[in-house]
Amino acid sequence: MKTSLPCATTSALAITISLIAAGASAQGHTYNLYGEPGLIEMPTADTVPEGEVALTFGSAVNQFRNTFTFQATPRLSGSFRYARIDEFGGPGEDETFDRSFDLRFRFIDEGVYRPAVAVGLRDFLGTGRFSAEYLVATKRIGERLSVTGGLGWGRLGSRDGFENPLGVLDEGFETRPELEIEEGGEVNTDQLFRGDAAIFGGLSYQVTDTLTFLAEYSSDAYTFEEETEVFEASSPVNVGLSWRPRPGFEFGLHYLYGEELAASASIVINAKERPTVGGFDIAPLPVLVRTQNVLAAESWDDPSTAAGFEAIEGSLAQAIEGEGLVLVDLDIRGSVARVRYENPRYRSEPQAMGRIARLLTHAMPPNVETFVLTPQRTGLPASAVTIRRTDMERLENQPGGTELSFDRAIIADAPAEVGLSPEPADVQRFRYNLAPYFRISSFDSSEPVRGEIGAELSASYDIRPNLILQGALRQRITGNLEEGDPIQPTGLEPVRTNIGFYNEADGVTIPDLTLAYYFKPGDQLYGRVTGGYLERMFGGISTELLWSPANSPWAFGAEVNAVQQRDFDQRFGFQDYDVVTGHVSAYYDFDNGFYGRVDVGRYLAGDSGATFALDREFDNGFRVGGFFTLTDASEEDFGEGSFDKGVSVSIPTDWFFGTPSRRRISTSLNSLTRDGGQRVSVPGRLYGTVSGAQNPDLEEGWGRFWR
Amino acid sequence: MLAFAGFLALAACSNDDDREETPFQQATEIVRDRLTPGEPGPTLRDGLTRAQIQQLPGEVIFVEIPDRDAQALMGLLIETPNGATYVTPEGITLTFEQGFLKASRGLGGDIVAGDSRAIRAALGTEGTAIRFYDYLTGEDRIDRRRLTCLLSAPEPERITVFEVVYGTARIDETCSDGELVFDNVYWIDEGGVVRKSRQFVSLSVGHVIVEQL
Repeated sequence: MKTSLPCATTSALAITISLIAAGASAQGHTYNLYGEPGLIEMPTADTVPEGEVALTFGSAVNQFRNTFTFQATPRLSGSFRYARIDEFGGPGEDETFDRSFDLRFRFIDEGVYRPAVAVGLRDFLGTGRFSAEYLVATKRIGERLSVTGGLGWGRLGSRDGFENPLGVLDEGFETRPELEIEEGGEVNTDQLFRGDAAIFGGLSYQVTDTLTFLAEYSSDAYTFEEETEVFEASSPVNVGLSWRPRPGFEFGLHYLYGEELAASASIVINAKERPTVGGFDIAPLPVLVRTQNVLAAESWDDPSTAAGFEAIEGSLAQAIEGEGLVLVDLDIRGSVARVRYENPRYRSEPQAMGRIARLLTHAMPPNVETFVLTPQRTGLPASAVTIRRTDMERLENQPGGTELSFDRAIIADAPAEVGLSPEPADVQRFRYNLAPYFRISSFDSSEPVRGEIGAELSASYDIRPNLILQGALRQRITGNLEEGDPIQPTGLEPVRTNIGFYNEADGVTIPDLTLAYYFKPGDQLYGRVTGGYLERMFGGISTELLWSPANSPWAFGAEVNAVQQRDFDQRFGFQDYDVVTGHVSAYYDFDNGFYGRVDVGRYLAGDSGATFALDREFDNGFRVGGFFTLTDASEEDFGEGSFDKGVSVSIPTDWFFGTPSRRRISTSLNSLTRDGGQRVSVPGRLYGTVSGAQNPDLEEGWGRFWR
Repeated sequence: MLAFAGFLALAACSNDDDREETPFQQATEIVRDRLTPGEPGPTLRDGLTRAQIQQLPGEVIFVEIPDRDAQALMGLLIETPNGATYVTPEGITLTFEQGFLKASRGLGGDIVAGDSRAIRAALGTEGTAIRFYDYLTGEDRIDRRRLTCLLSAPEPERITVFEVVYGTARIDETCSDGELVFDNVYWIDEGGVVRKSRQFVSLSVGHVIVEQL
């Protein structure tokens, strides 16, 4: 089965976010022109509700800032910002484009008399053009007024700065060294909390339910802009209005520095608040309870006879198909029924299990007491979950039944001896799909967004359940992706920076065409060999082995790929560059919604190093993550950005639409595409394939067992 | 412009029956639905007569969700010790325990499980009882609610359910856990059958009005 993301993703994202941004942040918090919880240009110590995601577009002075902000935990939030700075360097000079990252942490909660206090880093990982640190306190007074005061460094220490009070700890704090921003992208540790400090402050007053008045004293003197004669602030005071016509939308209009008007707009959603709440999935068939009446009225086929078994299997297969699932194998021995199935419909594997277990209460003779359910993914049995029929009968519709049904389920490895999948009967093995596709390139060097639309014909054929041939053909219709500025070459082999040449391809292209074989060499081991045109830029052979117990937060994997660079026309030819890459990977589910991953190995340009990734995934599948890659490629060779890093957002489509689906809408906001630290993109990597059908993911998804 | 028209005309086609619509198609439908104003027409209630009801096979209830302007007939799907489950043709179910709502599926803000045993035991006199509800949240977690409910003393009231008049006792129930507060009303006939009720589902669904046909 094709595992790549659906086409048309980003357009749908834009439409649906703007349609259903709702239910997010209540009153009391406003986003400032930097897209962080704050006043106008200054931050506050406010934190928004956990899971809140905000996209803020703000124009201020000579800058246009687009900021993505995510409240990852109740105290910690982070931002990725892409800004256009006009007349950078002086009047009439060209604009420049800048990416920056922020972090903020509230370490004191607001009390009756005590303010909330937070510490923040702005642009600590970029070129440093917005670089600032702050310590800020905010106190609510009554229902409508909140007052903020803070101490800033860097940009926020540039107006009427005084000697750094941290100098009492170490004299080194008193001077802020010049930032070397030749390549940018390093953590600016030499600068943090150094140099002069300055005071900022302000207040917000909620005039009506939708309107908030804001006023602040800014400690940003716009020194650089003044030196380059682009802007001169005549007053440190900013005033503004924030308007929330409906939840999820915020607009700001401000008068800045006694000089000019500025505007902002934010779209706000909360990952935890799915617009359709529990979703509109069709109701399951309720459990059939073995009461005396039922036992007297119903007759069951005898599974010990061939005809009886076939009758049971036939009706069960049909009922399971009605749920959008596939019965792969059924085995009834004594009081135990084993079911192996595939789940192309439900994101939450426990939801599929709950539905199959309910169907089994109708299909199995009364003496069958134990159901063993084995979800199979690309032919691989991922776990074996044992559920007692009596528990299904007793816990349905009972408060506390969700938790109890999980506690009483036994989750174990699916033994390798059960072998790979038998051929399921009547399963559709050939699938094709003709649909529009939409590609978007955001935040390249000169335009925030470029795009391309076209038609894609994709097809897959399951030669066996674990041997899958799949591929796609694309024809571009229109777009401006190829007009992007050529990416500045790096000192490394151009494995990604030549993307412009790939975007120029005319005519029909083959984005991918692969044959993948999946196998299970041990109870907790999974294997994969994939050959062919793996992605637009590389083809070859990819092999992977994963150790992933059904009941462990840990998994370890190893991958070796021998790949060669594809021709720019993305048909069958290859270029000269070939490379062997490989990684060992460790995966850990922290059981608090955080997932960590470390990959150590060799990357496409031949550089060696490690990738560190941390995702926050809510039980409803909404995921926001960040990663960075450090390799032995020097900063000079790597070029602008110094090392690879980025932020990714992945939203299950059922989050938007409330109808069951395993699809996702995903996008990543990489700082810049460079050649260092790049991995080949292989469809069907094993961890993503099996982990959703194992613990802890099963526990995290169990809320939908009775759904 | 031509290219855009071509893009829209490129109807997705597939041989995969199980395949859902792409996000793009789903989004397009949402936009279209929002842009097409609904025609206020005669409701199901206006057109339904007792004669038609008598033709309906099996046990049927009439259900209305005022907040959604939705009305439906629901047929009994199955009755087990876990409740009597009624279903709409679209596959939405409501499960009742002797007329008291116990679970819902397919409404969005659904009750995963409910317990009205204490309420049913306390009927007939003014007093309080405890009710439990498990809700499925937008985060896919269970939100467990323990509500204290105040029951009114029964008041005699005659009600008409599709042309048939019943003598009932009306009982009002007010439930609260400090955060979630709602009211239910039950009209119970002499045989103890809940002939009509107005019961709270969830904040996003509001109440359901249920009439036993």
